Amino acid sequence: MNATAPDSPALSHVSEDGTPTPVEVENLQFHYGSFHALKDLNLRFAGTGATALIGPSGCGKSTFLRIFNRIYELYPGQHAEGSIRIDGENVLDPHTDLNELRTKVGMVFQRPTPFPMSIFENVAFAVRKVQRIGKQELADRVEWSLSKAGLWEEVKDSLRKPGSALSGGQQQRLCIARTIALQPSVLLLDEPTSALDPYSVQKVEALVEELKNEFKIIIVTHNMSQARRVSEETVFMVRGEVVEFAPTRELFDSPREDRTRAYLQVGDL
Amino acid sequence: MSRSLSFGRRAKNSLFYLFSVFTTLFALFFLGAIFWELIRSGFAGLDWSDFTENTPPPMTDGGFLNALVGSLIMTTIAMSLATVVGVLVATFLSEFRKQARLGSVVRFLNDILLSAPSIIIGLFIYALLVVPFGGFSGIAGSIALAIVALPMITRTCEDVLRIVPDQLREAGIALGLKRSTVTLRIIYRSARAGMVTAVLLALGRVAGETAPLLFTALNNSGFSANLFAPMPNLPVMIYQFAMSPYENWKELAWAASLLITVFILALNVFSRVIFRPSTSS
Ligand SMILES: Nc1ncnc2c1ncn2[C@@H]1O[C@H](COP(=O)(O)OP(=O)(O)O)[C@@H](O)[C@H]1O
Ligand SMILES: [Mg+2]
Repeated sequence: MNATAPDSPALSHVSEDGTPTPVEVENLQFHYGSFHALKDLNLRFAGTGATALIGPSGCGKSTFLRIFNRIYELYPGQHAEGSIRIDGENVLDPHTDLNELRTKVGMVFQRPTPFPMSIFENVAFAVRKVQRIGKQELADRVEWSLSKAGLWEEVKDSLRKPGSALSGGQQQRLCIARTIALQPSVLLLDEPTSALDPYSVQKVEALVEELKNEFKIIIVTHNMSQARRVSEETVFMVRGEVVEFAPTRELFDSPREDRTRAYLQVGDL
Repeated sequence: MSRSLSFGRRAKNSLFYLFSVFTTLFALFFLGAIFWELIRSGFAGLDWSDFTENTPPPMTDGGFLNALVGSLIMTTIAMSLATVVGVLVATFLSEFRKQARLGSVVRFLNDILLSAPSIIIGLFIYALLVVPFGGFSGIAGSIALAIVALPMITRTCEDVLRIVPDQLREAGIALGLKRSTVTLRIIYRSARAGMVTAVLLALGRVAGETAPLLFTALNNSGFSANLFAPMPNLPVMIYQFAMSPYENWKELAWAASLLITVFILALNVFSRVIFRPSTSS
């Protein structure tokens, strides 16, 4: 029952010599109308592994993630300046092909959003639309994605059932599966476990542990121990600004900033 | 709990309760009386020849085949037009929110249309399509009915499309799907039950509309499927026959009324049944 992995998704942001190019954020500003939500972010994320974004609610974590795939452009009055470089290309470049960008930068939301179709179709739908791929290859891809998402064993006999029939935790893994089915190079997770039960949280965390070997992961979480468990580097933000950015262990064990220390002690209030 | 209420308050409460029950029964009584009369007289007039013969001259036997077919033709054309346009307008209003200003103008116009008396819609089409083109016609009737159905479909479809959470749209877009794919394959599918309900309810409304047809399709005593000639139809036939002094015409009017009422009732029940599963999920 092993998923026959179609060629494992090569990290596309790997440079010629084999080292992944980092994700570079420069002079990034974001506005909701006249509200200045992100103030001049400058960061350089490792090209592999997981980066955690933490900070009090409303500090701009989701806003930040939503720039990576430019999903904010769906709404009037929201705009970003500066640059985010993935594979050396600035995603904010006006010439960027948005649909292509979004297949390269996958996003999973806080609440699971299964499409009104079968479990199989939930995963296959976008793959079929976006890539030219044969029937058998598609079936393999679905199995591969569901296996990666730790869901295959649970759903392999009910692929025709509607996605909405799954439990919340399973739905979230289904959403992860359909995102990685496109073999993106970056995976954005916005509080992916905050609406889930403890069992599913554990499942998804294990999943992140595994996936980060293949995809660059940026995960927003309000759960400190989760950030600690799954990430190699952590960004701590307050009110649209970066307070501290450091390797995860360093940031949690010996924060340089007082504000970081205070936040880690009191938590997200 | 009731002990803490004073006697006066309890008395007022009971009185109000009795009053409500009485008023409800009063209203139900008239509704029941209407139904009873409709069923009694309707069934008396209803027989097989109603569906096989055309509307007769006074004092002779006949049916309303021509009017039934005319109604079916005009209703089908009207609903097809109104559904296509209504769904497109609703999609514009709910999916293209960046066009907020144009959207609110369109929504305002639609609301005016929704509350416009249908006789005015009839007159409008009379002036626009009947007078300039030299006569009453089935196509003018169809378009008048379509304009009655359009704002209902637009309004309800916009509402059910808006209920679909934005997160579902974002999830589709975030996978690199085109906007049109997300709308056609994901959003419509989520809102499907509600959209079908919208169309069925509009159909129920249009099925019995008389005023928009009086000035447009008028009527035709013979069988006519010609869209560019006056077209017979059930509501106008009922209107003319019910007011006539002829017994056989009155009987046909009752039978046709029963037919339309049962159809509308069935539509309403059916649309409730299909909408239930999606509201619970
Ligand atoms: N659509 C919006 N319009 C206006 N302001 C918004 C919008 N979304 C978020 N904000 C504001 O931007 C700030 C950052 O929000 P967000 O990125 O959602 O925070 P976080 O994800 O860290 O909790 C908050 O102050 C929030 O009120
Ligand atoms: Mg958030």
